[in-house]
Amino acid sequence: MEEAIKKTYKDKLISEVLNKSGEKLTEKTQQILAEIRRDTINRPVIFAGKSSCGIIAGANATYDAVKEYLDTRSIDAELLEVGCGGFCAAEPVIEVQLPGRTRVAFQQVLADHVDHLLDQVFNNILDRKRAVAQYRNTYYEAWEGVPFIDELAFFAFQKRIVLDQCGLINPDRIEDYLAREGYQSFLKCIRKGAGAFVCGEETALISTIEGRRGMPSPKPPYPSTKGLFGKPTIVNNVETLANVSAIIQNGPQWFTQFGTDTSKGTKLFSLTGKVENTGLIEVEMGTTLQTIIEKSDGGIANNKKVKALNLGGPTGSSIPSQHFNTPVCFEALNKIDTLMGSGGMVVLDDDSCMVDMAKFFMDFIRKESCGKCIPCREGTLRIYEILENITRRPENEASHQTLERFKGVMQLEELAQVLNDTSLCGLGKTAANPVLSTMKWFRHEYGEHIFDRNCRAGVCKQLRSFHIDVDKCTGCTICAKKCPVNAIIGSEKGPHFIIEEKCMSCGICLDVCKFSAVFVK
Amino acid sequence: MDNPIDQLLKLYPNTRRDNLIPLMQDIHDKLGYLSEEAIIKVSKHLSLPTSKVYGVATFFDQFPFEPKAMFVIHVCTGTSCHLSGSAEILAALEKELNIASGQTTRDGMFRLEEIPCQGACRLSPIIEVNGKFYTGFSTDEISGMLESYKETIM
Repeated sequence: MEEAIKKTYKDKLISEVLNKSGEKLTEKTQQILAEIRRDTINRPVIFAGKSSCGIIAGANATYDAVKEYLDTRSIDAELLEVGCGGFCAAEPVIEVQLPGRTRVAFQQVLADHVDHLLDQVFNNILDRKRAVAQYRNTYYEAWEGVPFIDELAFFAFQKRIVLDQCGLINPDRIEDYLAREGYQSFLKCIRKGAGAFVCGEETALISTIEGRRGMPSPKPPYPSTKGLFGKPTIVNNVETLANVSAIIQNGPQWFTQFGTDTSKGTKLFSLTGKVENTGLIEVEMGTTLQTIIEKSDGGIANNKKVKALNLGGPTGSSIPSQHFNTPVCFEALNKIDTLMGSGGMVVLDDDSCMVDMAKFFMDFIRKESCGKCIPCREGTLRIYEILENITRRPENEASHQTLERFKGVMQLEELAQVLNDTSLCGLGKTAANPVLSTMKWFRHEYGEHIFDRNCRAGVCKQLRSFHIDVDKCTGCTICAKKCPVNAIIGSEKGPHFIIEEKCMSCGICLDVCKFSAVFVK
Repeated sequence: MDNPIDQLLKLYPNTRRDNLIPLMQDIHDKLGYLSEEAIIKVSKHLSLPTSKVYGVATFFDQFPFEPKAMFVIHVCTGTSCHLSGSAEILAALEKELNIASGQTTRDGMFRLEEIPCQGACRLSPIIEVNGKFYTGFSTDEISGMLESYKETIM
């Protein structure tokens, strides 16, 4: 059904558009396009993945090694750069296509592995450890014992519309895209941003294009009535625009068959955190979070238990494991007070501290707040201060600091609510999400930090309690001298002790002790 | 021989305000930072008050106002790197170099910067020095790494 709709619509579109413009695809053109697609080849082709994750994993060195291999042995083969298929865990990826055989992908190929790997491939032997998948090709013979790429667990559950050609083509080459029928002609003018989180807000984005500080302005007027240079403007993100090409080509009926009743199409997620297979995935709307975690992944890293899922980046929320059966669609996520946002999906396990996560996100947001409206400018800083107080011991038990910790917490929820209600733009309105969501689902962790002064994950280092092993202590007095709050007592050449009430857990004594007498409990 | 800033200004005959950020990006690419001279020249070229140009430049993290250090150390402080301990690495580097993040050592050799995400979360924590990536980095490797850069200029 899907293919049928796609085909009839495409045929109609092609005949209409191309006939009107008077340019018919000649046989010659079709042949050229097929050559660009490498449908059939007469010499070996090596595709080297060169995306950001690949380059960091060492793809540049691998590329150079392949080039040197071909040059020194005078092998007539083509070396092409391609993008990334989203399977970051496999980088750097090298794909080889021999005439008559299907294109096969090798994972984690570092420069040192290249010689051995290519020696084998050119002799029709596959390095089984690295051969991860092969592409389907009706013309050529498949390799035995290597799964097709759509059979891999990481890819099988995905529905790829936006990422359809990722990893197959070089994103810098328009011919590659043309040959795979992706090209739609629009008039484009590209402006590079200068890096500010708040510029994701549409009015802030518009003001940077106009050459102003990236600060949002009150709505209405909405950009659709008065936007860039005072003209009506539609603001869309790249993911949306990438869908447009597929919709024009295959028609609205084809597109609307994907997703739920109210959320159509697919959604991209960047899956990271404590999982084995990190990467970029695209799933049909309505897929549950549980499916994404299970299917995309060979398992959770180190076999730990998943505690939470952070969805939507810094201004998103953390979802506890009991809600993992929520489908990915706007309504269902709204019901559990979260949002899809940027599509960031961070898996957190028992080694992650939820209070620390909230603090980390607030630190980011307070730095990125543009400072135009007071609730966001002052509120994010205040929330950060409160969280900082919670995640460390008071410097002095007798002072007001102990009280501050409690008072701050009592105000935290109210402050977060005010921030959400009164901020000017989307950043401020969602800025308190990390705090509100962690307080809602992981309140017990806040309690432990405040009352027991204990971080169960051991992440909040400033809550640690330090002790001195009297058997190892030689009484050199260096720790007592370096302690900023005079919490260490003891006489010269005698064992020293830490007064727990005074200690602020800075860890300096641990660093300076030459006899490993200081330990953390 | 024309001043490099003047050469860049010539590429922007249109003096509308929306050229401000692309122009500053070009100067940043060429010089590595925005000098006082550059800001004054840009403001004259676009007929804007210098304060406005400086105001836009300070808004974005991309534009530094002091000459580039010999080695710029970028510590990734994205979510994934944070989970694997980038905050400790940053603190250790600050201590080792005796500067805060966003500062340059007095001899102009190292500059320490935070960067939100490099896009290779599997290999976290990641630090990058002048385009060279160190993946799965730990605090134990810091002194060795810094030494290796000091040796290159000896």
